[in-house]
Amino acid sequence: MGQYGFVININDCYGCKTCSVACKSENLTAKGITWRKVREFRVENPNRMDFISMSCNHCDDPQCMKVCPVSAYTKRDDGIVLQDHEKCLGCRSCVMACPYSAPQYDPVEQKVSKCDMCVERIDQGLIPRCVESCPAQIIKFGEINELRAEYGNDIEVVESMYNMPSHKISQPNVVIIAAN
Amino acid sequence: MKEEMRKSQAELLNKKIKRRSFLKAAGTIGGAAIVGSGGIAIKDAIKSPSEVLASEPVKYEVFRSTCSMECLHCNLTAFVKDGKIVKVEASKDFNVTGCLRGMSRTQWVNNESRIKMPMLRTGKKGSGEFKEISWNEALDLIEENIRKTIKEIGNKGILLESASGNMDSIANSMAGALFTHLGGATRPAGSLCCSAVTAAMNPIVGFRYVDTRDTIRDSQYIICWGNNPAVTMQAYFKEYEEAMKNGARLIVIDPRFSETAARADEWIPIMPGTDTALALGMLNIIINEDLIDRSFLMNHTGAVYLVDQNGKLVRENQEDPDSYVVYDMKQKMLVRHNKKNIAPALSVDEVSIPNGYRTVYDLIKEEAKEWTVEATAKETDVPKETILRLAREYAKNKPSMIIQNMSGAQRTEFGTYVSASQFYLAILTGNIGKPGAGVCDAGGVTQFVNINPPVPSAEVTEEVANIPVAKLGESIVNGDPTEIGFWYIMTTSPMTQVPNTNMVRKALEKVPFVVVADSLMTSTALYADLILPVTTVFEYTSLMAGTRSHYIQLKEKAVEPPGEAKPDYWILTEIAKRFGVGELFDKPIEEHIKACLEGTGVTLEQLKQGPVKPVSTPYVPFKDGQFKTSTGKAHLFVEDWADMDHSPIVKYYCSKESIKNKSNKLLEKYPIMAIQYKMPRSIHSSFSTLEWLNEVHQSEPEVLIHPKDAQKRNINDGDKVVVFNDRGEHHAKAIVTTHIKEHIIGLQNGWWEQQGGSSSYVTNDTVEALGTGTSINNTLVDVRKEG
Repeated sequence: MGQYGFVININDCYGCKTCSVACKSENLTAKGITWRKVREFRVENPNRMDFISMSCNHCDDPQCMKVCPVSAYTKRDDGIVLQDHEKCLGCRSCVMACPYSAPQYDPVEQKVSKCDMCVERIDQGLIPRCVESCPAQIIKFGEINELRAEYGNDIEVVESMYNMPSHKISQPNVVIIAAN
Repeated sequence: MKEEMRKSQAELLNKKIKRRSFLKAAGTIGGAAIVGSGGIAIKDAIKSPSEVLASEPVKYEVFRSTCSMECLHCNLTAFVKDGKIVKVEASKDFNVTGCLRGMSRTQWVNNESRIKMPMLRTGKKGSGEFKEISWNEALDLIEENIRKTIKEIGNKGILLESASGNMDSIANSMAGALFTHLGGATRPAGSLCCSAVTAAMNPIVGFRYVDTRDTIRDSQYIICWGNNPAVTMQAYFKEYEEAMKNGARLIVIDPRFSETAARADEWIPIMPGTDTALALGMLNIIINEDLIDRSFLMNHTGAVYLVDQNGKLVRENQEDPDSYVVYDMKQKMLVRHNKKNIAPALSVDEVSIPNGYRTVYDLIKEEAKEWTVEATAKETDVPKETILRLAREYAKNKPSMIIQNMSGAQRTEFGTYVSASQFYLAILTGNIGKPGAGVCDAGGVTQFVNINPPVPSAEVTEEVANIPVAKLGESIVNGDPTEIGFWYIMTTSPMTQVPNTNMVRKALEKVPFVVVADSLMTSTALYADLILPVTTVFEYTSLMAGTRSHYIQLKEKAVEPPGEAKPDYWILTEIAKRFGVGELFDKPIEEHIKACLEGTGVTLEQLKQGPVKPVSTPYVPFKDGQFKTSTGKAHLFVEDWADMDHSPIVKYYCSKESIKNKSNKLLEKYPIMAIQYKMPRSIHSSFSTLEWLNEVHQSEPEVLIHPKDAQKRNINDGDKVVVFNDRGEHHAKAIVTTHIKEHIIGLQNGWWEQQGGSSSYVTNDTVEALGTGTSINNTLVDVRKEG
């Protein structure tokens, strides 16, 4: 079975953040916890305003999994990185290790949680809610090899454009289409 | 203690997992085709073994409604479990995908701060101190105060204010009708959104609320003029992106580098209020370079109508308003404009016309001539080469479209001319009535079918008044044109939306009995004498057939409202009963819906299956140059404007509150101009307090200020600042950025008192000159660091 991943088309994203609210509405994450966040990338002279929607990139080499002292993280055959929430101690090692700030700590619950790619939906043949909810259809979901073949993979260009961490750290399963 | 804490955390998590597993089940249904509603029970199909509820059947119901307010009326689907809404999604069979606000309705319906009972003021107005009373007591008070007002002031002392908040095809119409049956009421005149557009479109093209959204993707050149469709036409923005993929250029004219500007090919920052000068400058280039569509002007417009030496339109018969006269070049004589087989002259420059007559086109040409590239650049701050390029590209890259969509540009002192000037551009270049062309207004299904009012109005013989909505506060405070004794406010919040908030506040404090019907403690509700608890979307059945989507939609009731909240139409019916006119109102809601639909060919049964679009796609307004005026032609000379002592031809007038108006002494005190913009987190002030939206967007007001303006005032990015003028103050966080033009400050619309207050505290309450609109984007202010 192939690895699942996302495509994020920054070129067509206009920052409504419907994906973030769809995620919250679907997963009922606590106040302050948003598994899919949209970052605004504001540049001046010349002006630019790009939005980068990102959740967990379900990496090939998940740093969260590597550092977790209680082995709360597992990676399924389809590449989805899951957290066993019961096991989480709230130590936040994963929060520090993840290059993409995917795991988020809730000070009220004193635990960490992160995007599970809407795994139950996927198991029922549905797509993740964030993908489904996007009014401009800028987030796509599928097998990463197919997505890379269709949408290209110039991740190094994107990384330098948006000051992103190197993909070499964790091998994220995301295709990012940069703004023109 | 520690043990207890762990226990409660475990319980919390357990609950969360239960909730989550249920929601995942509901999501399954979202993936299937859902049509209609009803008490469907489906076995939970969750496969994950770790989920607590995996073995239990999950019963839920699915209901549909629409996101009703002044937005796009996207269709929504609610998932209900045990009488509670657990999730709202955009309906999948609708033409566009609803957004984050629609989904957040879960948090609106289930909001802990809902008004649940009628509440009577006990403290000072604005203090937020109220006590709960019964509906009977509340209705007694309403009846008593209406009777008292009629006795002491007359019907004109009653003010009814309803707008585009929790609106639908029943409530607002019924409220208007109710007060006519009580003898009449004073109403606000004009609108905050777009009466300038009405004042331009009705005389020029004969029709309003017509949009070009169906053919955006066919356009080759799109100008978003003072408008930000990535936010305000959000569900349709992918159409713009499609157009761009097909090779269209997207241009944004806006003092702010908006979300749309960020996606566009070109951002043209402009001095607010000078848009008409830019349009005339473009027209001048288009005329000089002969980029006009001659045949379109001769056959489909009144550009060829003749004007006499006194500047009046020439008519064949003074009794016949449509008997406009043209000069036929074939027969070389004056003839009625619609005579067959004629070749009407476009200009005296091409042929000699008797009696010193000139054409309407000649007058336009003369008006545009003043706006040389140099003069236009000076007034608008748009560089000369940009003006030239813009004019040429708009005229040549056909089909070209202008997105006006209730723009901020027309919320200026002479907004009617701004709107009209865009139609001039479209008409003179023949960029209208074709796919991919036109001027996009907000529009909707009521322009295709006639929706009846649920209750007919009575004839009003009593004296009532109209108060221009921009001057609502000051008019009431001054008792001009009338004292107000009873003020009924529904589907709107004047404390956030009407300009000059301090005056609105004083007005609310002055009026002896203010009723606010709403679902939450809005800024306006704080100042009410009596608050009535109102249902929100998914808590009542109603009809939505409005001017925002091309669909007629049923609003289904999914859950019981909290406490004793009631639909607006229930409240209005109860008031009607107390005045002996109850029988017109007191009917099942289905009867009212059927009355609205009568003659449309659309039935309630059809709507129960889903939204109905009664017009074929794609809709092209004024197709083939068939306008809706009395002559079927576009009229470019507007006699109504002349009757109001303004130019009958589009003309640029410099606004009073403008940096360009050097004679205004106010400039010395307030050298910055403010514009107001909309955000994805709210529609006007609706949704503004919902947690999800505050979390993913922002929870406090911000203002955009240019680095040069900030530096002069020692303001750093993130500082708390005060934007101020003689009208009031707005407190916000400064965002120092080049994403706003120098000398301009960007204010956000929609913040509640409880969140720091509306930016309307400073906005200009001058009444727009020709359409009774607002001038909020002609506001002079200054800004200082807080403290």
